Amino acid sequence: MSAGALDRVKRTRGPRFRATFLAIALACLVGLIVLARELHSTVVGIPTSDLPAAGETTLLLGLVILGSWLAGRLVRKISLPPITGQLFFGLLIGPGLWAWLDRPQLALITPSQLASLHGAELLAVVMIGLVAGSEIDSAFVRERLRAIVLLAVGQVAVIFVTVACVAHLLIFSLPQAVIFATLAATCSSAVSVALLREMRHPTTFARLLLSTTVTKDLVLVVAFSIVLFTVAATTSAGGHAWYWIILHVAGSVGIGCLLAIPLRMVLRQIEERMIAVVLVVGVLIVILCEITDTAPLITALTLGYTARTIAPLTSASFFATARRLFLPVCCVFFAAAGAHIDCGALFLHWPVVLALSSTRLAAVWAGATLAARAAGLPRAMQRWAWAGFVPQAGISLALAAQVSIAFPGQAWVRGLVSIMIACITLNEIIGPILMRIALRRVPEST
Amino acid sequence: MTNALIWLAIGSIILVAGSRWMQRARRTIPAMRVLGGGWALLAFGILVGPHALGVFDGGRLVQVQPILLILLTWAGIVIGLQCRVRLFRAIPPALWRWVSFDLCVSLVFAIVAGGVVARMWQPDSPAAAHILLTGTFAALAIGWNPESRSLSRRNDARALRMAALVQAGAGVLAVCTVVIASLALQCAFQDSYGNVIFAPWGGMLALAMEVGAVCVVALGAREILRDTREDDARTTLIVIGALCILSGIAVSFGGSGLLTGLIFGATIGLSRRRLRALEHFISSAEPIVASGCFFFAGMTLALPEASGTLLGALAVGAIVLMLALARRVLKPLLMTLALAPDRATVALDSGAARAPARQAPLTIVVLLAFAIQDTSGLAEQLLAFAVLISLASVAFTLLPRINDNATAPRGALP
Repeated sequence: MSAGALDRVKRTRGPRFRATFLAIALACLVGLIVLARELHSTVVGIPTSDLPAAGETTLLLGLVILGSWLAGRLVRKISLPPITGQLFFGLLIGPGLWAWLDRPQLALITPSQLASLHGAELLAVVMIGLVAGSEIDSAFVRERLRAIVLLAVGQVAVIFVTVACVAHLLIFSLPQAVIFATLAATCSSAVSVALLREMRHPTTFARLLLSTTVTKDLVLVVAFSIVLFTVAATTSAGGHAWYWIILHVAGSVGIGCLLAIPLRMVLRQIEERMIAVVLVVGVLIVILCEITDTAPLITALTLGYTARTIAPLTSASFFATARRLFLPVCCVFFAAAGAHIDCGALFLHWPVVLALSSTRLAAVWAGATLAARAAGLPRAMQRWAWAGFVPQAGISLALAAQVSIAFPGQAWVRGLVSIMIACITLNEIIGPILMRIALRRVPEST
Repeated sequence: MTNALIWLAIGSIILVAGSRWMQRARRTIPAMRVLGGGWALLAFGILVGPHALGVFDGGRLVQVQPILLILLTWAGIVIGLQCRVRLFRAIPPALWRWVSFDLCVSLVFAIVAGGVVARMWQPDSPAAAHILLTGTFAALAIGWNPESRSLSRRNDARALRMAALVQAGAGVLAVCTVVIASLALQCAFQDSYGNVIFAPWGGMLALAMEVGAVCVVALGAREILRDTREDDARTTLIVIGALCILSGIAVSFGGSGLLTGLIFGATIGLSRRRLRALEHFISSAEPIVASGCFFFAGMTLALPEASGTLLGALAVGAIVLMLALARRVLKPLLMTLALAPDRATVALDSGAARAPARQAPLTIVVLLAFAIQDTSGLAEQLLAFAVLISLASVAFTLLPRINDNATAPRGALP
C-alpha cells in the first residue's frame, strides 16, 4: 500500500479515543489546575513553597500546552481545524473574554501571567518560522514561480484597492485607509504551516498556498514599512520609519542568512542532543532579534529556508527535530494568540469590523480567483485558492503594533489599531476553518 | 545584554558537550570518562553564580527557576521509569541483601548525623530540623555512582555481573533516596519567616493530594500515549506538557519535582504495555538534564560560612575528607558483607567493585531541590558539602588502584 493510501486509511479510521474522553480529559486538566490553586491557598497547615511564581509559570505552560492540544483534538471531531480549538481554548482561559463579561476573576490566566508567557510565545514564533522556512522547496518555487507571483500580486492589488476604498468611505482618512488596506493584504504563515504540518503528505495545493503566503508576507512587510514612512513623512509625525524598514526587513533577512553559515558548521560537528541544538538556535534568534529589534518570524523563516537550501543533508536531522517540537509550539502560540484576543475591541466596533472584514473576504476571493485563473491552475484550485489566504495572525498583529510605535501620541492611532486588531481577530478565528475546508476540497490528483 | 550573553554561553557549552570533539575527548582522556561533562558545567555555574563573578544574581536566578523546576521533574521521571515490575523481579537476592544493608546503615547514619547537626543549628525545634536534615544526610549517604566502565576493563562473567549489580543497585537506591528525601521535605518545611516547621499531617495531606494529582496526569498521559505511541511529535507534546504540570503541582503542594516526576515515571513504567517512544524521548535527554542540574547546582551552592577563615576552611576540608574516607571504607565493607555468599559468581576484586565508594551524582540533584526551597542558606552550604564530598570520593576511588590488569579490547565492554 502506498504512503498516500495508508494516510487516507488512517485518516478515515481516525483517532482511537472519543470525544467524551477528550472532553473529560480537558475538564480534568482545568479542574486540576483550579483545585491545585484553591487547595494551596485555602487549606491551612500544608507546606508552602518559596517558588510560587516559578510554579505558576510552569503550571500555566502545562495547561496551555496540554489543554490547547486536547481542545484542538476535540474540535476535530466536528471537522474543524485544531487551530480553531486552540484559539478558543486560549480565549476561554485568557483574560480578554472574562474582562469583557465583567468577571475577570474567572480567567485562569491573568494579564500579568500572560505577559510571563511572552518568552515562550517568542520561541514559538521562531520555531514556526524555522519550520515554515524549511518547508519551502526552492525547486517547487522555481517550478511554480508564475503561479506564486500571480496569486500574490493579484490578491494584494485587489485587496489593497477594495479595502482602502471601503475603509476610506466608511470611517478612515485616506492615509489611515491606506495603512489599514496594506495590513489587510497580509495573511498568516503560521496558520499555513500549521495546517500543512497537520497533513502527513502535504499536497501541491498546500505547498503552493504556503509559498505564496510567505512570499506575500515578506513583500508586504516592506510595503507596510514604506506606507508607514510615506504617511509619517506627509503628516510629519514619525521619524524612524526608514530605520524600521532597514532593521525589520534587511536586518531580519540578513541575520537569517548569516546565521545559516555557522549553523551548518555546528550541525556538521554535532550528532547528538538535537533537541538542545534546536532550542539553543531558537533562543539565540530570540535574543538576537531582541537586541537588534528585528522580526523573529522573518529571521527564522530566512534561516530555515537558507539552511535547508545550502545544506539539505546536514540540516535534515535539525529540521526533523524542529518539526517534532512543532506541535507543542503551535499549541502555545495559538492558545496564547487566543488568550490575547481583545473581545472588548471586537464588540465595541463590531459594525465597522464586520463591514471591513466582509470586504476583505470578498476581495481575497476575487483577487485569488482571478489570479488562479490567470495562472492556469486546475479548476479545483481556482475555486478554493482564496480560502487559503483568509487567516491572519502573528505577523499582522506585529505590524499593527508598529503603527502605535511609528505614530506615538497621535489621537487617531488608538481607534485604527483597535479596529485592525478586531479584524485580525475575526480572520484569525474564521481563517483556519476556511483554509482547512479548501485543503480538503482540493485533492492531490488536481 | 548580560542575560543574553549568558544564555549564549550556556547554549554554546551544551552544544560543545554534544559535539564530536567532546565525544572523542571522552573516548581518549580517561579523566573525562570518570568526571564527565557535568563537572565542567558545575564549575561554570560557580563562576557565573552569585558567589563568584555574580553575573547571575538572585533576581536572574528567579527568572530561570521554571527551567530548573522542569529539569528536576525530568530527573524524577528518569528515575521513576526504572520502577518496572519486570526489572524488580529480575533483581537477584544478593542485590536485595546489599541494597537493604546499604539503606539501613545509611539511614542510621543520616538519623544520627541529622540529630547532631540539628541540635547545633536549631536547638529550639529539634524534631523539624532533625527530619529535614535526616533527609539531607540520607541523600548524601544512600546509594552510589552507577558508572563503572571507567573503573574496570575486565569482561569476564564475574566482573560483568559485578558491574551489573553496581548499576542495578544504584538504580534501586536512587528511588529510595528520592522518596526519603522528598518525604522529609514534605513533612518538615520552612515557613516564610525561615523557621523550620514540623507538620506531619499537613505534609501527608499535601503528599496525598500531590500523589492524586500526579496519578490523574499520569493516567491521562498514558491513555493518550497509548493511542499516539508511534507519533514522536505527540509524545514530545505530552511529555513537555506533563513536565510543566508536574513541576507546577510540586510547587503548589510544597513538595519536590523529583517526587512528582518519580510517581509519574513509575505510573508510566508500571503499565503493562511499554511506551517505548516516551521512554526513548525521556532517556535521550538525560545528559542534557544532568548537565543542566549540575550547572544550576554550581550557581546555587554556597561555600560553608565557616570556610571564611583558614581554621574554618581546614575544618571544612577535614570534615569532607573524613566523610569521603568513611564512604571509601564503609561502602566496600558493606558490599563485601552482603555479597560474600556469592563470591564465586561475583568479582569483588574487579574495578567495578570500587564504584560504590563514589557518591551518587543524584545527591547533588536532590540537594539542589532542597536548596531552591530553602531560605536560610543552610541547604546551599550542604550542597557545597555534597559537591566536595563527591569530588573527594572520586579522588579516593582513583588513588589506590586495585589490580585490574586483565584488559579487554575496546568495544568489548558491556
